[in-house]
Amino acid sequence: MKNARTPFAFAAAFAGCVALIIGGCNSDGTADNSILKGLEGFGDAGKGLASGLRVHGAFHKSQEQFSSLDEYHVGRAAAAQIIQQYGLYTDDAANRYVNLVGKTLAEFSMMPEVYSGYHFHILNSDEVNAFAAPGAFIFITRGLLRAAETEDELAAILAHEIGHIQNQHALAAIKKSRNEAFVGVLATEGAKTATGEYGAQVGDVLGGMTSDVLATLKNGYSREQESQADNDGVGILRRTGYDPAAMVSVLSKMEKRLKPGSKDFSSTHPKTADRIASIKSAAGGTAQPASPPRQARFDAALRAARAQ
Amino acid sequence: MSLRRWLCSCAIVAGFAGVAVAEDLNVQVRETAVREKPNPGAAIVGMLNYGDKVSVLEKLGEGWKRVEHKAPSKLAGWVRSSALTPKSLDTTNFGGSKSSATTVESTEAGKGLLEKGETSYVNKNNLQNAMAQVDAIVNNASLKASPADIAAFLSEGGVTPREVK
Repeated sequence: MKNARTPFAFAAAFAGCVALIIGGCNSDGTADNSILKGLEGFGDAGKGLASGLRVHGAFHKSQEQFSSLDEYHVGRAAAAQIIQQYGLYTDDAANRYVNLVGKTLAEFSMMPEVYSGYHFHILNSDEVNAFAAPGAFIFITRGLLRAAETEDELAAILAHEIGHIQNQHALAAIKKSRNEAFVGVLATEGAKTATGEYGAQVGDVLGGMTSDVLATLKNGYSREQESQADNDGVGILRRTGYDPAAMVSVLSKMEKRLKPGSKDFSSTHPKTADRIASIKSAAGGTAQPASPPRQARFDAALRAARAQ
Repeated sequence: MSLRRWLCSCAIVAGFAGVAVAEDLNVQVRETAVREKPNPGAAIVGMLNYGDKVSVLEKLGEGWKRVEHKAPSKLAGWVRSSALTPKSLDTTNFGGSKSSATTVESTEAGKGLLEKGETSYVNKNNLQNAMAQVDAIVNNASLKASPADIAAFLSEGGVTPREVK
């Protein structure tokens, strides 16, 4: 409350807001620009209301206008950053095998088709980790591959990551913080600038969203999201025809490979014992013996990738 | 009463009267197969591309929809539900070469605005080499898997899918 005009400004802004609600809201929940500009004439309080309404409108617009193609491009940017940091493991036979397992699982997920299809790749890192970026770019490190001893256990890891994709967990991190900037560059003001400058503006929005995604991948999803990915992963394994109990067995093997205090799976995921407890009834307790043909192709494809 | 509100009222009345109102959706993947039957192994009768508009004729659970392309060809068949969205994907002038500054809001929406920022982002973060590797992953033919490849992979590994009800 800085001056005597404030009560009047607040009342006037409130009246303006009521007028906007009655007559100035578009069908998509956004506010007419003329009314927002009118509100700004009522001092700080009016500006605050106009700003709040813009954010509200931006949320609706971004939900409507953020497409699968936008998601794919955030995924490409995040994938490039992951590749820059970890490096790819470039063994075509190993990567083809991981893609066959992963794409087979994706067929039995709730999201079998995404803009550019699912892309799986091995990272040349000893860290025990996996990442599911938007647009269905899924990476698994050699360190985590070593924890999986059967095709069913590899499938369990990939099914968990597909669980994150089908629930759009990485995308959820973006939606909270970058809506306004996305809608801002969609506006005509942005297009009036030179192409290069406009490209840089859009690049900054892409950068902000990618930064949100990478922060989530680095710091971890919420406990609820991890639990959802575990449970959905068990469902995908079962529908595909893999052993759902492989989710339990591979979680136990992963825990043995984690190093306390390291920046790997252990720093980004809930305690393994808690995860196992929450899925055990759905997954079943004892993993089936490895199927001979599956084990033969698993060993042939991944022997070199899993070697120390 | 505006035309929009009038249409909305009609839709509500139609809903109460139990009249089936066709649902229109848009294809949100680069391309998707239109199949004779709701099965990934069924014969492909044609392809639909990003931004194509379809009318929903029939649904099978959450996973499949029988659609008709809203185009003169009237291509019809089953597609995966995750390939479709109710969002408007305006692909007018797709590719950006013809878009004008004054109509950017309508033409960018759904077309993938962020694509226009990739070069700037890559240059700013020195990701040229890493982004080339992303492209290599996306385009590597040996990493692709057709429905026939997946069927063979399941069969050779003795993996038997459970029937989804």
